[in-house]
Amino acid sequence: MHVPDGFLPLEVGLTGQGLTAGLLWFSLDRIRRLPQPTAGIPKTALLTAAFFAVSAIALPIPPTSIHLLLNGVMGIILGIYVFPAVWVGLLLQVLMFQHGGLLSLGVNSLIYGVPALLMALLFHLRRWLPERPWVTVLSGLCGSGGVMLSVGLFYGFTLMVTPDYWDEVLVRDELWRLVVWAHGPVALMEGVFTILLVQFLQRVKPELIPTVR
Amino acid sequence: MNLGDRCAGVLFFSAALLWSGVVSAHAVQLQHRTTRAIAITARHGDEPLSGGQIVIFSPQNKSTPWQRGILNAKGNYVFVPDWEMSGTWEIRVAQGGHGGVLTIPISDAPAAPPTPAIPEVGLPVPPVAPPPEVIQPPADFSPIQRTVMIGSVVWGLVGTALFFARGNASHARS
Repeated sequence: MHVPDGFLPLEVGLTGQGLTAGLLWFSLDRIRRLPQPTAGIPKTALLTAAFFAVSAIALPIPPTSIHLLLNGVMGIILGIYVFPAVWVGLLLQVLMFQHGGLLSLGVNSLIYGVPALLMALLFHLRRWLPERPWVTVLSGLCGSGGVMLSVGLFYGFTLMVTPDYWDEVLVRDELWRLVVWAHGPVALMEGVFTILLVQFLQRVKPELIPTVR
Repeated sequence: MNLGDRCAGVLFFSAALLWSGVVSAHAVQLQHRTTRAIAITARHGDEPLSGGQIVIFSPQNKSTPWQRGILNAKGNYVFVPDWEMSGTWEIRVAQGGHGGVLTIPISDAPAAPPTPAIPEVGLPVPPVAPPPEVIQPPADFSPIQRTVMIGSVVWGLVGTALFFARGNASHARS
């Protein structure tokens, strides 16, 4: 689920790059102001590795094949580090496997990174909620929500920039069939996986989940 | 047979001829000729991009499609370009958000195939199509190559994690 180069008008690609640069600057500025800015780099590097690796593992869900996104769980664990992590992962995917493209890197970073940031914010709602069962509910919502928001952004964006010479009815049908429906099981899987992972981390290494201040 | 009968016979015969001419004008004319075409194959990973849309742009007009079509079940599409239009032809394929762009340079019109004659018989031999020119796509990575590439990136990122984890640990001790 990457917007490829060659399908994107130049001005849209450059706008995406500009917005991505702004979000990267915002994230890095917030990280720089943390008491220990490098403290989050180890987990950021490990989750970037996971994000990069799962994109190369295709799961056959007929009539297409999809891959896990992991942006929801990354948002929960990385917090403000998540947008740079997504950007680095997508850059490596472009350079190694030509998934997406350099011009569309900005747009793809927004499609994956903005839902991850929103899920990080959503998970912070646990500050005002009782521990049980709300952490489990929020974990599931964030894991699934990251996927669903990314799919929604991808769907809307693809329809918005599709040139007139493509058959719009066919494009809409293909997007519903091959993107929206096919990612339903992925959203479910990532929701369950995120619940299990958060429960595991709370027992074994709770400091990995950003504390709410 | 008198003159009237003869005239009626000629009229009937002429009408029959005219009618057969009308019939043949409505018949479907089927012809064939050997030509030179370009075959496109689109795949997404190991799967053919069956049913995907394909749009072809001529070198002269990059905004209005020269031809549009649908890939078959094997992800193939064959088209005959206008060989007189030299330049870079652009082919775009898309399906469900996946897609790619292919450019095919056509330098000039190919030479017309020879039409030799057999001296003894004097009958022209039908033109022989030139052998197909197979353009290999860029090589995809083998599973081993992909594994090594993924492993290298993961190795680098794990190394980064360990480097900063060690730095943070020593910082915490001091």
